[in-house]
Amino acid sequence: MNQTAPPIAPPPARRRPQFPVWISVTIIVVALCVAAFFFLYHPGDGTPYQYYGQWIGQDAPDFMLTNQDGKPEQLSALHGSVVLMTFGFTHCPNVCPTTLANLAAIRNGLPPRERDRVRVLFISVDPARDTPKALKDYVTFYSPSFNGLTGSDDDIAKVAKSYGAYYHAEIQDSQVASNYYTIVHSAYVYLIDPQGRYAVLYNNDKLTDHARMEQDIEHLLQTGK
Amino acid sequence: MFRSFCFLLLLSGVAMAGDAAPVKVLKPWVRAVPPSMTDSAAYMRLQNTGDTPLRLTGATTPLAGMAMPMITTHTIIQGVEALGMKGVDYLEIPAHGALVLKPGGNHLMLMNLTHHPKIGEQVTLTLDFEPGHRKLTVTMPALMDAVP
Repeated sequence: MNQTAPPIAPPPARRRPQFPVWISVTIIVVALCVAAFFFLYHPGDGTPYQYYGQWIGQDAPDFMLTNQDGKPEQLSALHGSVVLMTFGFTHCPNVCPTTLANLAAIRNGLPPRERDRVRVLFISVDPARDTPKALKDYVTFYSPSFNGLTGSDDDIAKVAKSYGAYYHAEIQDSQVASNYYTIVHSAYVYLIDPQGRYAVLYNNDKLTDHARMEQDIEHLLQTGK
Repeated sequence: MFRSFCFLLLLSGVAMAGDAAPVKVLKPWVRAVPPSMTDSAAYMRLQNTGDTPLRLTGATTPLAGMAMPMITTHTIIQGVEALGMKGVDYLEIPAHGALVLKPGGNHLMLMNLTHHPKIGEQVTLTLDFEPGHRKLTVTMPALMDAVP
């Protein structure tokens, strides 16, 4: 098929585009606002400190559980201290000892005055086996200052849920004992600041950098009232 | 070459046992655990100096009823990362490669402890490798945490 191409319109006469002043002004103002935002805005508590862990900064859900001496232990009673909290179980041979050994080393790395204001809570997700006595043997092996907490299944489930922790029991295909089970659990460390805020969340693998953990703790001890 | 290999073996505190596996063991240690615990774990870096892959299938030790290779599982459940562990038949060491057993990761789980070593106490583990039923006896300290 033969078709005649439509006549091509000549290009409009080009004019050097004029940059309206208002566009330039808008761009400058926006740029200044963005710069000011990054200069002035710091996530977290309003100070220019960058936390090693993930800043959460909300009220820490309170709870009351039973400690390793069989006595009630309430989180809100620890105001004024930095609380490092983790969920685990005493039959845990790999992840939990690693967590507790790291927490002990982090705490020991602080100057004595600050060390005394750092509490470690190990909350059992295996209350069936973790009696106060079992917890005492376990946590005080890492530091006599550590607290092991247990409670009823419901109490533990409620606390875990309020911190977004997860756990479930899993039967091991084991040649060792028929009733042998392990607990699959999240292994985050939750930092509660001296004001009782759930301030920072740490992934378990962050715990190996003791110096940076200590820096966060010292920062909160110094700035938190 | 062979002499330097033997020297390295000595350096890493490894004693040869019978038909020894071509493995160099670095920084081995057993986790010292509270007396109430029935299980512990052994950690080390295993370097395969041979030309074929090896499988670490387990170990025997006077410390425990059984030693089993374990992996740490990372599963996202309900948006949360949950850690678990799982017994495996073996952990592979690639030819001229390394297998790292470390806290919070792969490990040799020592089950049904018959003895709770004190911190600093030297203990022995005889590692089992396949193919060839090869063994390697390693002496290591019991520690609270890895030496940096």
